[in-house]
Amino acid sequence: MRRAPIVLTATVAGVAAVLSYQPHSKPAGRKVQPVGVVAATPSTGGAHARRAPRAVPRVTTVVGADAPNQYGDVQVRVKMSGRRIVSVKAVALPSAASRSQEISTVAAPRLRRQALAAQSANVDGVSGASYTSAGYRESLQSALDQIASAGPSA
Amino acid sequence: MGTVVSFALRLDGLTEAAAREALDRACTTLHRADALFSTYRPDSPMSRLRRDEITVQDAPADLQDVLELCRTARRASGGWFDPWALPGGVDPTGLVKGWAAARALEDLRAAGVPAAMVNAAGDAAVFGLPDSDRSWRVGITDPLRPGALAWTTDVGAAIATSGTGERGAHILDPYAGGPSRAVLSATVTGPELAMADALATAVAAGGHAALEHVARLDGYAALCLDDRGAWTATGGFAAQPAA
Repeated sequence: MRRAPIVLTATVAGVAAVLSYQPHSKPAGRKVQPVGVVAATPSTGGAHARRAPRAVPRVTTVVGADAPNQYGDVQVRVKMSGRRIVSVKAVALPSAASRSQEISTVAAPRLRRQALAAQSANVDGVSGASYTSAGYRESLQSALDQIASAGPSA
Repeated sequence: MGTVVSFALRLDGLTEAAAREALDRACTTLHRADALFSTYRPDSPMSRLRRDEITVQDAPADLQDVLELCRTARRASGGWFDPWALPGGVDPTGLVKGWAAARALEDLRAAGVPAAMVNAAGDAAVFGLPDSDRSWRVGITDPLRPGALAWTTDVGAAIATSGTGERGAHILDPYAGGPSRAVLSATVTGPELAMADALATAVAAGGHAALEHVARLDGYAALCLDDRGAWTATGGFAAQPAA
């Protein structure tokens, strides 16, 4: 039986969290067609490659090392079901001035979106414009505000 | 830098300890790049340079190299990528993410990893093959359908996407004869991620005019989406519609 060759890891500003990633099988018989100089809207045709059936998976949580960035210390926690990524959370760690609080930064939802899109579309990674630049700022700022205004965690 | 960076490694022949060591080196490289170039850090050499507290000659070698790359990219893009055009001093942000990710990838290669992808928030560099029978494959998101992919493409070296996904700067299209269109997303593939990063920024700013410059560069190809929902690509861009 062939070993899964791929390990997916993620960092938030340098935090390393080692995850496992379900490898996908190669789509049968698809050739890459040159797009050429065209103006066209993308079609929704095409078939998914089928994945091999899996045994019932175990749920585990992988905790990354903490790392400082411009917003404070961040730690990535990833929940795995077997070898599939189920959720990604970025957790703000306590420091002398801040309180421990789980936050949803924009980084974590983006990572989760990328991981889930990659798994469903049989790609190894995702490249894309940020969804809304203004939304990014607002979301991140509101997350930071929550940390600043929250009381000590229960 | 607040950027999410993902790594995908093929592990054949490597222990998990060796893989973690390789990743640590790659992360250190990213930290160093952040310390050097971040305009959010007031005492980074880049911030100091922007305030004219140091000269380019006094700056670290990596910073000089990046500025030189910026000059090359400015020429290659016909001026549509121009880090000197912004108020506040030179700002290589449109190229640094790709540059740093490519350096991190080299750490992995040097550590003996047989194949890897480094993806810095959509700017990705690869080497080797993830499996014996396929190439690294990347999905390109559809700004008009958040969470969905528009295209998938096999990446041989590097891919970068720029754009806000929403109406940004308007670009004038002298050939359309109608209202100007905005570029929602611009993707560039090619041999070097730093250059691809800069060129994607150029296409996001310059639209079809910038596409023409990319088309003239050996090995580089580009794709962009305008706010009418039309995708346009240079002849060398190969992709499939995502399912």
